[in-house]
Amino acid sequence: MNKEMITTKQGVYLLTLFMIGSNLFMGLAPAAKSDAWIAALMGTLMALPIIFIYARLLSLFKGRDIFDILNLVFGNVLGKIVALAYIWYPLHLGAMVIRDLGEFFNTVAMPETPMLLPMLFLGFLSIWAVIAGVELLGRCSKIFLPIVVIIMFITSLLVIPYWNFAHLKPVMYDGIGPVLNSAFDIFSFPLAETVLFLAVFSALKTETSIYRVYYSGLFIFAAIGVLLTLRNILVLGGDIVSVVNFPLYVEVSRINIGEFIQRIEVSVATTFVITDFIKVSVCLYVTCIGISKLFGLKNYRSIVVQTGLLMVLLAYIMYENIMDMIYFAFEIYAYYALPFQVILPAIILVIAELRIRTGQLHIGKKY
Amino acid sequence: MVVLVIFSYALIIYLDLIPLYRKKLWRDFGVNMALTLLTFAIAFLISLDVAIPSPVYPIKNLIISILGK
Repeated sequence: MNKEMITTKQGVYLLTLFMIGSNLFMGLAPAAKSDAWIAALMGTLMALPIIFIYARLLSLFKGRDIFDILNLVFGNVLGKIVALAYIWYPLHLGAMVIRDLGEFFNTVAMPETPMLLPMLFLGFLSIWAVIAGVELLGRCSKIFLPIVVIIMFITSLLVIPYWNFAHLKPVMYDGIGPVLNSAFDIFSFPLAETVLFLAVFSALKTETSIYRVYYSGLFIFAAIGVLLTLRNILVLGGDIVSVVNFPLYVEVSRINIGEFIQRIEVSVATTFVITDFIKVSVCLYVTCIGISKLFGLKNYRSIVVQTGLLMVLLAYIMYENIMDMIYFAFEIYAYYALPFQVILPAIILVIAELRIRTGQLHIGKKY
Repeated sequence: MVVLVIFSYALIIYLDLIPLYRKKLWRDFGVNMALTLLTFAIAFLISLDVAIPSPVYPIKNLIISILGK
């Protein structure tokens, strides 16, 4: 059996692009206003222990994905019931990300195009990528991350004339409460979503430890996220960042250097589409792996097309309008995702450790 | 719109389902068939402008009732 493999570097890049996907453009922690950058730092700190849980699970069961782990730890029946949660969650997450893109195109970039169209094309692209396999996603991310970083860097240079340091003050005017709330949002929206990589990193071929891959991805994302959030606040100010739906786009659209370099917000739309594509592909891949493991299929590729279509259609019927989406993403989602992101992995890890220590579970060589 | 949906599903079934049937992968065929029927039903209803209830609202109501917001 020719197993698909991704290298360490590709894994880190994939992880980083997955975390950047969609949330940076919606603005990290808009509720914290001018303290959003502090919230981003705190969110990263909050994510450190939970990332340790994921990496520990992966290093305990090397070469196995989350559905195998569930089967081993919980047994056949209970494992399949819990696996249902990990099929629904990536399906819903992928639909949310597709919907983000649809709303972005519908409200900002191409208002007269029907929303289903960009969503459908993103869905087709992801279906194609997932049929080609996780190797292709790894290679894609190796090309895409430099593009994203270069665009971010150039736009950062161009907005320097618009910086206003007065926007940063007052620091924590409303106390630490909103900042901690927003930090929790950041923790659950991009950072702890990496729970899905429990199913992807079974393909990781690495000599270095899995902890390093996870933490490098986290730190690269944290650097990009904190700097971009800081930049947003410096240019737009906390009040505007908390009001507009896509602050990065608004910010870059203000660039006008010598009446010549202007309207380069399309570059931001490009990065948005790239990172969304990676995120949707990862979600679709995990869903397909889950369904194929649940029903014991020969190959996950035979159901990719239908699952992808289901994701797109779910995205289409999910919300009535953009306010619904914003409300769900920033008010409800953090609590909704908590069982999938924190509670279940913690339970799995505790039971796995207990069963391995007491010798009930044989996982072969220890890493 | 309805015709478009039906034609595209005919194409998808021809390209995606029939090969599985030929290869006699019955499990894959069954799961794929079920998913095809589900997505076809949703796509058909969307093309007829039927408002499909979103699965997100029960989740939202549940979480709001737990948190007491």
